[in-house]
Amino acid sequence: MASLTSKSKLKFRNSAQTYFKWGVYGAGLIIFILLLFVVIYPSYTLVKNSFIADDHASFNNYIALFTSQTTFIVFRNTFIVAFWGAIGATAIGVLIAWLLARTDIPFKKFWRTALIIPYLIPPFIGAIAWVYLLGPVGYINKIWMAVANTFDPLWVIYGRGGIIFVMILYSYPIAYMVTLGPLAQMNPALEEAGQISGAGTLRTLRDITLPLMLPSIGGSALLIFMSMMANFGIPAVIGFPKRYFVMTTQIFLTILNFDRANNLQIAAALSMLLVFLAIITMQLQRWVQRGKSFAIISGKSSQPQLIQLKNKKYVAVVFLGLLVLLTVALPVLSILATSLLKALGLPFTFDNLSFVHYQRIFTELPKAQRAIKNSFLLATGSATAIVFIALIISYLVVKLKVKWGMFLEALVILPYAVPGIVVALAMILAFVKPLPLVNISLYNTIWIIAIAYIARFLTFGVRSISAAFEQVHGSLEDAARISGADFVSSFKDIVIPLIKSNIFAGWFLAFSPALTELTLSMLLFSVGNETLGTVVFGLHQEGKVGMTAALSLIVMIFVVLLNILTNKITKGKLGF
Amino acid sequence: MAGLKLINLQKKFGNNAVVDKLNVDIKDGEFVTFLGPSGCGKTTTLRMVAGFIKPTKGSISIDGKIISSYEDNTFLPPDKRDMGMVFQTYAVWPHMNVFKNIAYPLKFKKYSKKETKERVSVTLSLVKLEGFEDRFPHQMSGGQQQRVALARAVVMEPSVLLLDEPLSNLDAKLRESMRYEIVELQQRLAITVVYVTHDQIEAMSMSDRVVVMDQGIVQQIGSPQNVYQNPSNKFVANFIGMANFIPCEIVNREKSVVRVKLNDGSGKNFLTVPVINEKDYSNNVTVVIRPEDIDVLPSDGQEGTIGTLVRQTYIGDRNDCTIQFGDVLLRVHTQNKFTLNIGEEVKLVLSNPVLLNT
Ligand SMILES: Nc1ncnc2c1ncn2[C@@H]1O[C@H](COP(=O)(O)OP(=O)(O)O)[C@@H](O)[C@H]1O
Ligand SMILES: [Mg+2]
Repeated sequence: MASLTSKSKLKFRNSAQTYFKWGVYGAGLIIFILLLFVVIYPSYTLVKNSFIADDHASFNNYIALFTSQTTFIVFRNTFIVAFWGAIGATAIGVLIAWLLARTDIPFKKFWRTALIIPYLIPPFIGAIAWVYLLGPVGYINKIWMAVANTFDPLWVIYGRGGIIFVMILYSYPIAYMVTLGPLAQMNPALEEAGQISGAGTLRTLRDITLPLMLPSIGGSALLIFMSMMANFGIPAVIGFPKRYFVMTTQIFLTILNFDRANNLQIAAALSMLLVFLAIITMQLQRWVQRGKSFAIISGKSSQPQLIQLKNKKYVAVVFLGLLVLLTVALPVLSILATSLLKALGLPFTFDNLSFVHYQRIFTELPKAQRAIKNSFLLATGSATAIVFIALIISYLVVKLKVKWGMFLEALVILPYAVPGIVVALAMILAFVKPLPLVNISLYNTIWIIAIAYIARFLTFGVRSISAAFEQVHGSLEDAARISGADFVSSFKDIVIPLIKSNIFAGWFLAFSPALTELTLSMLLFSVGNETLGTVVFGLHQEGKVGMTAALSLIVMIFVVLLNILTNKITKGKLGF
Repeated sequence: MAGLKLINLQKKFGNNAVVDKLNVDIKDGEFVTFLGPSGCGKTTTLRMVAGFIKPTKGSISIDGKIISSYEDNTFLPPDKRDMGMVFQTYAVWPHMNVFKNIAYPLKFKKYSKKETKERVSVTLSLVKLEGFEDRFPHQMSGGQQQRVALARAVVMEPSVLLLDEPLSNLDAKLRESMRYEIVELQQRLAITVVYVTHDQIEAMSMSDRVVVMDQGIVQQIGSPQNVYQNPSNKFVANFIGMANFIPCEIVNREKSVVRVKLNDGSGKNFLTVPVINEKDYSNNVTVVIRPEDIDVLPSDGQEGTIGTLVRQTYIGDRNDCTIQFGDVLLRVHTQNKFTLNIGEEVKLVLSNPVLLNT
């Protein structure tokens, strides 16, 4: 009798697990169909459209592009901007990483935090801030004119140099973050072996440290190159006034150029070129980091000895201080000042300061209020959807190790790997016509933005949650099972608590960029469905300086609060 | 080639002295090993010699020339010390091939291209890696990388060769053969070697002299035989080999011989122990006897040193016994193949005792 009972229990346990597994497979199928709908179908439509001219299959779009002088110029501009931007940002980022990881520079904790902040400021807002500083009537230029007693501004930021400058300021943290780890964890004996061989400090740096770091440095340079090529906000803010266009802004203008025949199709072809460039860069980056990735990190956690900067300490501190000034202090102050000044150009006296712009945002500008509401709704909704989708995808890929896992992962990465402007165009092309069967058009609704956000930021959720599943070793569940927990209990008691913090992290990683998203929204929004990014950008374009600044500051406050909250909830894993 | 003198060396991290009052005089061409448990300050000492750590007291000199002195505020950086070093993690540079790795120290010695090539090739044959010039580290086994590290350390004929646990990452078999190779290399180059290990077999089998350390303090300096046969305190006796400690009292002292009564409860067992003339002993002392210096015989019911057999394990080349003797348990390695029963009384024959203050 006793054995019978235990047998039936055994059967029950197995079936719970089986149900769960089939449940996950079922959910996986639904998600696969969803991805088909939001990733594969738009990609396919984009490719197809690039080969359609006047409703016929043809190469005319490409022919038009390759025979146009503009394409060549835009292509060259993109390359120049991304190239010099990547070099500058990498040089600065690596230097910072080295100073913080390897020297006795003071106030390390402060620098570590302060130098990451630029990464949190949405690039287009940073660009707008720099227009306030170095535009034709920017604060720095005006001070210069007063001090030097001249009518010539010091430097007007519009155009190529300005784009490169602002891009460097807002992407060096990538290089810093990528190279800090390898620099800090490099086996110190590798460098000590150089010293004992007779090489002095600088020589060791040149012959050993730098070559060993080359894969990380090269990899981060290419990563930055890619992100600069794909950036839309900075060249839009800084490039438009001087009609200096790069691929992303050119695609944008082509899409909006309704008078031109086949404008969407030509934009699609141009997008294909941009994607092609992105793929090449990505492959190059993989090659650089795989082919020569040295095992330079020792198992032992011995600390490298810190290089004594001695009197060069002051130079280093001034350098880092200048960076914080340029990337954080000046931009934030300029936005704050502009938002409080009744009108641009007035002197800074107490009488000229007011909260009128903030007031107007909340009284006269319903689209701004809608934007705040929409952006929070979109970010919350898409982040939540992303976490659920990511849970299932990660479980399928990591735990169940399904055969089509690689394919699933590729689908997740694709919308983030290609430039945002391309994703936006693909969404337009895919959903401009009513959906078949149900005959509903997503175009001009908030749903098309939601779909685009989910597709684009899904990778953050999957990365975070997959990492968690990988850490929960099977033996932990086995231990629960052998202790008497059934499958459901072991999942509930062991797996979920262990991955909880990563679920939160994934949610925030998707929420933050969604909240301040610009590129996708710019092409997908419609009246009533504005987002924070589109309204800030729109106000800036309309020349409503005070309100632009006020809303920008509000966005930055959101970002800061979000980071503090993230830090609290993920217990220091993310944010600060 | 050079003699190395460490005088009253100290290293404090914060308030914590991890090496203190260290005095060692290493002769030209000598192989000296610092031996001690993990965390006793061996690496710190070696890194002070190499110049990676600044002492907080004391001085280091090579052939009478001071290279580091806290008191005189002198400190030569590692690249100016003309030493070679082999690291525990090999630290073979992964971005250079074998030739470049080994030739690197020669760059700072103004060698011509041809001379460099020759020296590298000679050194490679010295470590039995002929023809490996173009290999990259990731194409080599751990043992081969270790040889590259060794070659790199000796290629410029340094005044002193430093090795920090160089064999601890190798498997047991390779470790044994590398021991002999390193000694052979040292003898061929007639080079001064400072070696660091926590492995007593390594220390005993390779060194001319061993410096036994514990908690940052030198416990004993001597030849391998000396530290084994005449440990200067309980730590050394225990750390090097196995040791039995029998508490006892001095009953009679002559110049170089002491008669002690063993505190085994019987009050009838006495031992005569040779001692050094000048050394003073308190009344309560301990006798150290190695397991192989005790013999076990069947008790014939007569008087003698009697214990009780507690455990017996036959391990092929010897009989490993545990014997209750008074309050202490003695470990005994005997070649005798008597069949004795657990709980039986046995007669003990003790030889080569060493007297230590408790
Ligand atoms: N940089 C350091 N700061 C503080 N303590 C240290 C440092 N380096 C070593 N120690 C301490 O000094 C002691 C001796 O270390 P070490 O010389 O590496 O020992 P060994 O090589 O004998 O194992 C250890 O307790 C270690 O924790
Ligand atoms: Mg050590």
